[in-house]
Amino acid sequence: MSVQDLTVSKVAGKRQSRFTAESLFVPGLLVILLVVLSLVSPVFFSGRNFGQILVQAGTLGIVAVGATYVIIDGDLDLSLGANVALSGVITAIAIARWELPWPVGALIGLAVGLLIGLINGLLSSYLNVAAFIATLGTGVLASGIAIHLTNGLTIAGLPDDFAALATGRFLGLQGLVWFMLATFVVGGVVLHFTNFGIRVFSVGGNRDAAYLAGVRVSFIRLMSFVIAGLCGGLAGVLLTARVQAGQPGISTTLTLYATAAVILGGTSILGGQGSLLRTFFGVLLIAVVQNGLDILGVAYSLQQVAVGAVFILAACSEAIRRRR
Amino acid sequence: MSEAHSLVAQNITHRFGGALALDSVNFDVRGGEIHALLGENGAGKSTLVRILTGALTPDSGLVVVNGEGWRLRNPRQAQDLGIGVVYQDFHLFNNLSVAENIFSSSPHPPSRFGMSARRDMYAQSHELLASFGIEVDPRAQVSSLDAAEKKLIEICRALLRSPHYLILDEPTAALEPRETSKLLGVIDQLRARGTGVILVTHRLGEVAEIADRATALRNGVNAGSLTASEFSLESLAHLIVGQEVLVETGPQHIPGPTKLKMSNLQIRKDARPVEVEVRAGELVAVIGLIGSGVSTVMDTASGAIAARGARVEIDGASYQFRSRVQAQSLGIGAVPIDRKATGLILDASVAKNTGLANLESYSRGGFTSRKKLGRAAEKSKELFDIRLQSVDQPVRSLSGGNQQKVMFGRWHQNGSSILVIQEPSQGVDIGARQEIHRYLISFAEQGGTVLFSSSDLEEVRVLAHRIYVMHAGEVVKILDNTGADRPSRQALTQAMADTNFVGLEREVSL
Ligand SMILES: Nc1ncnc2c1ncn2[C@@H]1O[C@H](COP(=O)(O)OP(=O)(O)OP(=O)(O)O)[C@@H](O)[C@H]1O
Ligand SMILES: [Mg+2]
Repeated sequence: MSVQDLTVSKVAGKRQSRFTAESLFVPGLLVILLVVLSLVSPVFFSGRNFGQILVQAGTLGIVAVGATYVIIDGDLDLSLGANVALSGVITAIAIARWELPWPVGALIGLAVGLLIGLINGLLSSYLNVAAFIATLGTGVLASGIAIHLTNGLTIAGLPDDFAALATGRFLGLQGLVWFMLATFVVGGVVLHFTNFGIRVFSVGGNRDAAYLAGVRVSFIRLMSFVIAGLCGGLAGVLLTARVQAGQPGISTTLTLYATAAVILGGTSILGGQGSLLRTFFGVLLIAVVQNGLDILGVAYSLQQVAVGAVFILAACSEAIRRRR
Repeated sequence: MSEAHSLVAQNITHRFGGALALDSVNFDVRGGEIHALLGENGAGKSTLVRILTGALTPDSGLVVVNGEGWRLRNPRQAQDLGIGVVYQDFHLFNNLSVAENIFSSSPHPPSRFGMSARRDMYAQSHELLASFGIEVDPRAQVSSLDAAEKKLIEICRALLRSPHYLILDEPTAALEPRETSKLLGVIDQLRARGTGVILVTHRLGEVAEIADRATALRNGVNAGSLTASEFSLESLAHLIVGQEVLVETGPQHIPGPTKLKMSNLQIRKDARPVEVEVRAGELVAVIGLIGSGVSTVMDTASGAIAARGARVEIDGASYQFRSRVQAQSLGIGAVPIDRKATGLILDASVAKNTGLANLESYSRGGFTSRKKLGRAAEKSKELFDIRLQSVDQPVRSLSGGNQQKVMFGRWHQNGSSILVIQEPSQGVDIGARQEIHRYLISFAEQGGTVLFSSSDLEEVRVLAHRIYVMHAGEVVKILDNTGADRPSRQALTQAMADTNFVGLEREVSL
């Protein structure tokens, strides 16, 4: 009798609180922003501009998928931005200077991203270097190489076919957007519906306990870094295709934005908790803020201030919620 | 004594989400009294403790300290009112030294000219530890200590503030008999000095030995009280469970051929290598004082640590474990001593924690089947009578005993043929403890092999076929626990503590 009631009420209570407190904050903020921006600017509320927002979210989104894996398994990847820069630059060099066919150039770019992820993983999980330090190191290294290879200049002269990879339209959306959505879907399925995903969460939740339960902790961490590296490589290739040039200089803010998007979405920086759907909303939020400010004619440097402010706001709300 | 010197929980009601954890509970302790707080896992003991210490503010009800009613909002408030506590889980800074931990909640740590004076801190810590007879270096980092030592450090920290009331939530769960009696001695002293002590425990022997009163909670309500003159193991068990409790008989079956044999484990340089043999269907206990090497034996057998040179033979094939993964693939399940630190993924669901060791059997092509995982968890819920609302709720929200059952559920579902268990029933109530014992015995009857360590000698006596006694990194005695000449509790305590005995044994063996 009463036990039954208790069961029902508890589960119901739980669902409810989870729904309101955790998953609705960022989407709510997003809706408010959309409404406000639509009222303030007539240009904002249009299919064209929404397409634009998604394009702005493209690179960031792909990188954030990788960052989510690494953060949930309890690590951190500070080399993601540099990874994007280096893999993009090498793709550009392979196509423009070595005159390789562009699909080969793109594959080389992906391989570079994967390699950086592999190095990060080996350093952190097998050599036990703190991920923070290992990825800081590889990040500085990679962005140094990118700048050296290009002498700090952008590399131009890429074929149009290659550009179409990112900018060609399909069902009204640009290639880059499709790639981003695909990354989220594939990443989300793997993270939330496979054994590997459960193990990623377990390793982030309690490394020792996961080890005791027979989880190959080092391997799972390595694979998370490799996935992050691949995401970085993919983002680098697509960025190069979109702007038609290798860009050695984009690294630091991208790392920070990607990490911010993950945390903004509500994934715990301590590991073991989070979801890719949340990251998706975090990415959208950042993209909408940037786009809105763009439309309002606010300078890029101030946009960064705004993104920072939103991030701090979300972090505070998260901290307050947790305290209760 | 009058209410002028008492700590009272008055009409406390508290809900978690929708579930009523405490329903108009009343509890009190007077100065100079030891009041035991009893109850099954999940009865609400720790919740009441957290309310009395300001860690949790109840939905309604007051904490009355020396006649004055309070709604405690934070732990500091309770501390200032003279309420000290040692919680059930560890609350230590692992990267700090023992002394720093002891002084971590002190309002006046030793200082000179505003700088913290380490030397004084070490000296005072040393004194405090010595008054307990604890041989721990105040400079040692806490992460290097074992569970029992950590518990003692927490108790020292609470005592440093000379609280008027001291609440101990299962302080002896991690202690072996010698330390338990030491701790009980200290509690006795505190009572003599006028301190009011609330002692939460599942070990009824302790209650009978030392408490003045005992009160049980059942499903969050007061289930009644007994005073010292009414105490017996039976009456206390009855108070907790609400019905008669059966007496345990221990394993009746005869084990088969050798299943697991560990050899060449060198724990100390000057010690003989350890050799342990367990037969199929056998329950073997390993006991010993702190630092005797019991946990090294267990961790090596489970593959949790890779001890150099140690060999493990299973069904005649010899291995040198390099990882836990390897040991697990050979059918070894492991229940660690600290289920929260190294056993469970607290934020993950009961279902995931149950299935984590063999996700492959709940999946297809790498995709996890939530249904299969849920069904496995439901099965282990039935088998072990795990009290939970839903198998999807995080393990963190279960009570300690139920968490322990989730650990057992994992290895049952995994089909392990060998279980290496440290403290099978640590922090587990009498009902659950008997269930776990029954499970282990039936597991062994069906040919399963059990190697376990326990600081609870009663548990060792009702569970083991044979008992390995360790001292200073060596096995000093192997006792037969079947038949008429089963060792008594006293005999076991003596075997563990008797150091002269080691020398003798050595001479014989050389
Ligand atoms: N933070 C929490 N959130 C939700 N439920 C909780 C929480 N803490 C405790 N509970 C629930 O409240 C009830 C009482 O738990 P409590 O920890 O007080 O039990 P206990 O008597 O100390 O048990 P044990 O002997 O196992 O330590 C249990 O049903 C438990 O699941
Ligand atoms: Mg408790």
